[in-house]
Amino acid sequence: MGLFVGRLRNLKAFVNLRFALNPARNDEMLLLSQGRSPIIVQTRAGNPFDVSRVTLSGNLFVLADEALQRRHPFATPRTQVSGFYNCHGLVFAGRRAGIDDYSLIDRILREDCFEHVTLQDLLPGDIAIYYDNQSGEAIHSAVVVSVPTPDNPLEVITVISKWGTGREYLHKLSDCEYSATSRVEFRRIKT
Amino acid sequence: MVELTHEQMVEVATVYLTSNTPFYFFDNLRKTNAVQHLAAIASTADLVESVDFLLAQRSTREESILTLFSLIGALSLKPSSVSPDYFSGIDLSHLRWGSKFIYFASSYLNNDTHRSWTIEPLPKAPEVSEAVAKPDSNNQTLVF
Repeated sequence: MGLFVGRLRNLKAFVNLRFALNPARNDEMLLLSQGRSPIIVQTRAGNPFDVSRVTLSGNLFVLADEALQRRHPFATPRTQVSGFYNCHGLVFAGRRAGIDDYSLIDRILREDCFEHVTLQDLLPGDIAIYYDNQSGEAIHSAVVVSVPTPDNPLEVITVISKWGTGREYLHKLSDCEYSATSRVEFRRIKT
Repeated sequence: MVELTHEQMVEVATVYLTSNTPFYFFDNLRKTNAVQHLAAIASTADLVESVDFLLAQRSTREESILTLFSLIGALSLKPSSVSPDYFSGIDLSHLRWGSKFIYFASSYLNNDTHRSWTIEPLPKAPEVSEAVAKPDSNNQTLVF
């Protein structure tokens, strides 16, 4: 019975994934293809930047999604798997599209006037950028949702981020796939 | 034909799923047990033969595509026996990040850096902010 329920859950996840990621269900186009998003996103300076939308499906990605959740049991999934946006799309494009050109991140930070924030000044709503230790590339970004305060010094920095084309997670800053080989900088938009 | 086990395939799919940028995918794919194992057990000739086979198929099955990426990643780990020119003959433009992946593989064989390459000219691209790339000097960076 347990096995049956497990398989049923897998099947349900698989169906959800297919419908979530491939609403058009065009099997000729689906796998690992990338399309230009119909959405146009601009920086404050009015300069558009390339955004993408990914369509993927298949049982392997369901298994990969499950493996991620096993690897990070304290990270709370917030959404289903979605190829419509990635972490940078969550932070900089309002969850409407993906941004996968690392060089755009520096440009967006600059043109949208994001300022550095120190750990002492960090507030919920600030953003965290994970830079790869070796390449310096912005490999991940997240939105800060909780920080230690004088009243609650034991609080840890918690963020919301999207793991690639996987799910959105609520997680500790360091409890994600990207933290092992990266350093984090915090930014706040200048108003 | 060199193949990945199911567990290795899931490992590769996990890297693909979590990748936000093509370089992250390339770099982390090369570090997987799957690709390291492929590079260790398969000869360059076997890897090349498998790549050619999968390219000829032009399969859109996820297993085939992830295997193709893994094989090319394994070939990029064999700088002594693979010519960088080999990659210039491979067209993966039909795949997401395919062209960039080939570029990175070739760059690594050339001992080049991927940073010399851009996807396309950006309108009014600014200089990269020095402050962004610098390591922490003022408690602005958190290193894990």
